[in-house]
Parts: sequence; structure tokens; C-alpha cells
Amino acid sequence: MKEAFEFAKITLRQSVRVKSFYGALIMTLVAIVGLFILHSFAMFEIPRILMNYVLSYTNLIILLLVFLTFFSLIQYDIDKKTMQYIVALPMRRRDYILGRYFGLMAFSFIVSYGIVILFYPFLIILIKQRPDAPFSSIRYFLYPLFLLLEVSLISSFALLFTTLSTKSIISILSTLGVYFIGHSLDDVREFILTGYGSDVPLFSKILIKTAWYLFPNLSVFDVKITMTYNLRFTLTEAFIIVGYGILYTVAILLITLSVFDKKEIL
Amino acid sequence: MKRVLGILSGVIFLLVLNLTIMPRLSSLHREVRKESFRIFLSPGLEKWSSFEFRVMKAFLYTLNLRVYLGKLIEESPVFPPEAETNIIKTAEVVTTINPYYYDIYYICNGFLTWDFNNAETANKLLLKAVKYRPKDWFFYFMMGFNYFYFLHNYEMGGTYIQKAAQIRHSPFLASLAARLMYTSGRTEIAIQMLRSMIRNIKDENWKKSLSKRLEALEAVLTIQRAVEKFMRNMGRTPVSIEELLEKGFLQEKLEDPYGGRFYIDEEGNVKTTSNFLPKEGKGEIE
Amino acid sequence: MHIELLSLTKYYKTKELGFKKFRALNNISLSVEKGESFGLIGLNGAGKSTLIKLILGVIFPDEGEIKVMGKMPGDIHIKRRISYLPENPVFYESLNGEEILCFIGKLRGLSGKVIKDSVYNILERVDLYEHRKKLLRKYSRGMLQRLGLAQAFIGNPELVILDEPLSGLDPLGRKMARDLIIEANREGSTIFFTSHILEDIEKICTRVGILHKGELLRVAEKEELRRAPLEDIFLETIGEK
Repeated sequence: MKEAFEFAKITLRQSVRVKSFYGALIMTLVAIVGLFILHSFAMFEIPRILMNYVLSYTNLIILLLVFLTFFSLIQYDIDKKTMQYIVALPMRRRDYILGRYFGLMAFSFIVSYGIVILFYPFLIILIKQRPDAPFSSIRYFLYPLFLLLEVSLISSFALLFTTLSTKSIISILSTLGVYFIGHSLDDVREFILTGYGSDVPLFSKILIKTAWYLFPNLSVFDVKITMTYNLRFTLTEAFIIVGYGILYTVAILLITLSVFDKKEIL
Repeated sequence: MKRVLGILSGVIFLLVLNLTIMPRLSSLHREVRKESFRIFLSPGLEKWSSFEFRVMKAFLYTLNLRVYLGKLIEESPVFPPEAETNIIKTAEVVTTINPYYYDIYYICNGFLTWDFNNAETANKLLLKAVKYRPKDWFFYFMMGFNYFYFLHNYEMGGTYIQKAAQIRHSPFLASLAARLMYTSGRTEIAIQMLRSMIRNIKDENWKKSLSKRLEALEAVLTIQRAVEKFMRNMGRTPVSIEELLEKGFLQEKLEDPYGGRFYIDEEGNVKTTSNFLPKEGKGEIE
Repeated sequence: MHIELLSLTKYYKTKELGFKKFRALNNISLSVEKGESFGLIGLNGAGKSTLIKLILGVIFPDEGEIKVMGKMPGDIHIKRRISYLPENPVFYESLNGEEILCFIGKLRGLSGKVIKDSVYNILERVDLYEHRKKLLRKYSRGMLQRLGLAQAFIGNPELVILDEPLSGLDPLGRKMARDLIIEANREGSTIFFTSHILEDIEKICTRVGILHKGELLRVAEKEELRRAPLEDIFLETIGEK
């Protein structure tokens, strides 16, 4: 386990040094300016729009960073064959997977809370100017946890595809695919169940039902509307969402570990 | 390889951006582009393509509508008929993407009632608003006002004002229902509504348009009060505005800011030739 | 016995070969004793790297057995006592030399205070101390090779496996590398390395194995090597087949 921790530190160090990280920093400064611009455009319920803007921005940046960082890291491991070397090191194969996973999660945690904390004082100043809707700081600071659950799922899938594929581009596209399918599941299912669904051929319906059971439903982690509009969010619901995220991640990681254990790294 | 990937991901990101957000953003800079509303996919598809960014997309679409309407107001005092379709389309899409969004209900109601005399559709939209935002008394109040003022349905109007009063725990609101039964009462409350809208909105063009309407309604109210006083004193409806001026019930001749001429019909209702004020209907209690 | 190979056979099925089975190694039997300095020579494509990957547990044999220090390859306790230098080493380019070595050192079991000293010592040995804070993407081919040597010897591993350790080095670098290897061997480490530069093998090894087209044709002892130049022995051996 100590080895996984050390490799996680390496992963974290690599993530911070990826060029896109600096781009993200600059983008965040621009986004702060955007916050002020938004404040002058928004009409009603300013606190809600501003809060959602910050949370949406955090969401976008974290997803971009995770994908871009992941691109860089696995490009090395797969295309430049560092994986062969890593596997020969005094690390268990599972330490490689877990180290990468925890490194990416630590990176995402630091960045997401960094952004949310950075924006907070500006948000408070602007909200105080026109508080025509309630703003809950608790819900604001809770949101990144749910974002991290989504990141956790995407990261574990990314690792699974890394171990399965021989070219980095395949695992990147597959991970993107999981993201899009994961977010579409709810909408597509609703589409099928409503009146429009009668046109859909049976084969597609079966395909979609299968996808529904196989792929993670990522839209449940998007609690932005619940947080922004102060909708009812019971402890039970929260536990279910968190539980789903954790269990699904564990399942994917277990699959990844078993695949990787006996994989030949050519 | 890294460079190719970087370029590839940049291009893909730009394509996605262009397909979803850019058309709305870019229309902010251009002249009124009616095509921007034709690009709308079906509400379901628009919702799907927003992924995790529904609130911001709903905001951008609404902003697009505001800019579009603002430019139209600038161009001419009369809206083209397709503007109504565009408002309704935007409302459908935005309320599918984010049904909790306050602004879209407010804006669409504001224009559909005052500028297109389509309070039925406005109330249909507001039904969705109260479904998703049941604690907001103001939407009930808007519906009630619409029934009274635009649709002359005093029964439904009363029901909704009551509902609003209940939610707000405001006996004052309940008594408004009584006032809305009188013609001048309705005009008074319409004036208050317009004043509140002018206070709240930021869009300069819309503000000017509403201010003009407010001016017209204030003139109407003055004349209505004069008519009521005349009828109390003389026991009959006045023949014309001139009679009110002659007999001193009206201090000065009031202009219709929309260029028409105020007159009084046989039943004593205040009307104007310019047709920019909603028509008062039958069945009032005087 | 540090390395024991018994009737080892490995097949590859690759796209390039039209998914036909290609036999990379055929019935290899070999044992390397503790403290030995064993060199494996062969032409390009003979199967040297494949053999090393099998020893390290990166790939698995189709037939036969491998035992490293008595255990299966890939056993974590064994890996802590082994080090590996791949051919044309590539490391994470966003890290610097010091960070890589500290990481490796920690994995080998070096702790806290000892680590920094060991790392600096080895960096000095391979003449990379001034570049220790430089990111790897700025390293030249020779510098990467020297860093590779550093990570192979840090922590004094009992078994050092090197794949073409002297490639990419200038004459000074080669001397430094040779000295490192010989010194480590003298201090008790077992050395197993491959090369196709026969001159280096002659200088360093006590036993030499000749691998040709996946077969271990011959293992020459030190006495044989003293009698004739390695080049002759090599050409003669592969000429026979």
C-alpha cells in the first residue's frame, strides 16, 4: 500500500506539471471576470445564477483537466512503454492502478476545492449587492463532493481502458464515450418511455435497455440544480448517490485490477 | 503524438461548442437574426445536449431572447408575428432544460400578455412555473391578474389571487381580488404591475416600452376616475372627453403616447383609437 | 541460484506476423548463480529483451519455468531486491532526476534520511548531480542512460538486470558504466545483462550466453573467453547453426 501511495504522489506531481494545468489557471482568472460580467446580465435570482455559474465552471474545468491530464499520463504509459518499466519496479501491479486512481482523485479534489474557494469571496460580494434569492454556502461547498464522485467513476473507467487497449487514443475515446453515454442514459430512456418512443425499433430499445444496466448513470451526480434551487435533498438520497458512486467505482477498479494482474505488457 | 492529440481535442471541443453554445452567443452581436430560433432542436434534444450545463444554457437562451426582443423594440413599436412564435419556442426549450428558471416565465409572460394579447399561452406557461416553483406566490398572482385584466375571467382570476394570498399569508392580496372587479381597480393594479416590472428589469429597450405603456395606462386611469366621478354626480355616462373637460372633471387633455385619441364609449369605458391598450371587456361591476 | 530458467518457451502472436504463432524463445534452460556476472549476447531480434521481460514478470512463459531467487517472477519481495534498466529507457518527462530516484529508492525500501544521501551519491557517480533538478524532458539521450544506470544501482540491489546498458553513452560514460557494474559485482550483486557490444561483455562478464533465433546455443565460461576473442566464439557459434 505504501507503494501505491508513493505512486499516487508521482501521479499528482505529473498532473500538476501537465501544460493544460497552467492553461486552466489562466482560464480561471478569465472566469472570475466572467462572473462580474454575468452579474450585470442576469435578471432575477442573481445568487442562483452566479452560484450555478461557478459550479458549472468547476465542473467543466475538472472534466477538461481530468481528460487532458489523463491523455498525457497514459500516452506515456502505453505509447512510450513506460508501463513495462513500472511493472518491473518493486510495486504490485495493483499499486500501479490504485496509485494512478488516488493520484488523479487527489488532483481533482485539490483543484475543485481550490476553484470553489477562490470564487467564494467574489461570489459573496456580488450576492450581497442583490440578494433576491437565498444562497446556501453549505450546498455550495458540498457540490464538489458529488462532482468528485463523477470524476471517480470516469477515472476508474479510464484506467480500465488503459489496461485493455494497446493505443492511448482508443482508451481516451472510450472514456469520452462512457461520459457521453453516462449522461445520456436518463434522457434517452425518458424519450423511449414517452410518446416519441413508439417510432424506435425494438432492436434499439433492447440496446438502450442493456446500456442502461451496463453503463454508469452519470447524470445523478449532477446535483447543481438541486443545490442552486435549494430543492429537497434528503440524507437518504445523498447516501444513495454516494453509495452508488463508490460501489460502481470499486466494481470497475476490481475488474481493472484482475485484468491488469495477468496482462502481458508487450 | 501529443501535439496531434492536443490539436484534435481542441478541434473537437470547438466543434461541440459551436454546435451548442456559439450560435446563441454570436447572435448577441449581430442584428436580429430570426434564424437563431430556427436552429433550436426539439426541447428534449436541447436538454440532452446540455449535459451537465443546463442552467447556464437556459440562461444563455433566455439572454438571446432578451437581446432579440430588445432589438425588435428598437426597430418598430409593433412586433412581427414570428416574434410570438419565437418567444413560445424559447419558452418551451428553456423550461424543458431548466423548469425552475424564474426569468423565462417572467419575460415570456410580460411580452405574451402586453405585446401579443396572448394571455392564454402565458397562463399555460405559468402553470408549469407553479408546478415547479409552488412556493412562489408571484406566479399565481400573475395568472390571476392575467385572468382578470386580459381574459376577463373573474372567477379564475379570483381563484388564483386567493391562491397567491394563501401562499404569501397576505390578507392584503386577498382584498386585491375585490379591487380587480372594478375597471379602474384593474387599471390601478396593472399600473402597479408595470411599475414593478420597470423597477426590476435591466433591459433598457424593454423598460422604455413598458414606460410608454405605463404612461398610457396612467392617462387612462385619470380619465376613468373622472368618468366615475361624473357618473356619481350626473347619474349618466359622459358623452365625450370634451364634456369631462368642460365640466371640470378632467383638468387637462391627455395624450395617448401611442398616437391615438382617447374617447369614451356608450357604456362609459375609456378607449383609444390607437389600439395599443388591451380592450376592456364586459361584465364589470360598477 | 539467483535466476533459474527451465525449458522456457515463449510464443508471440502479433498483427505484423499475420497472427501466426512466432516462437521467440525455444526451450531455454539456464541458471545464474548468486554473485555472478552473466552476459547474454545475440543479434538484434534474437530474443534477449523477451527473455528479460520473462524474468521480470512483465510477460509470462508459454512453456517451462522461471524462478528468480527461488520465487515466481513478479513476487513483490523479490522485486525489491532486483533492479532493471530497460533498453532506451524512458521515464516520466515531467519529473526531474532527483524525484525519480527518490521514488525508486523508496520502493526499494530506503527510508527518510538515507534516501537523500543515497540519491545524491549515485547522482554524483553518474555525473548527473548538477542536472538533478532538471526535468527529464530536457535530458539528452546519454543523460537518460546515465539516469537509468543510477536507478539500477541505487539501494544496492542483489540482482541487477540490464538491457543494453552502455548504448547511447560516450566513451567516458561507458567507462563510468563499466566501473559501476564491476564495482557492484565485486560488492556482491549479481549482474545479468545483454549487449551486442562484445568488447564490453568481455571486460565485465564471468560467463557469457549466446542467444540466436530464440535458442541458447552456448554458454561460455571465463576460461574459454580467455583463450579466444569473444567475437570469434560468437561468430563460430552462430555460424554452426
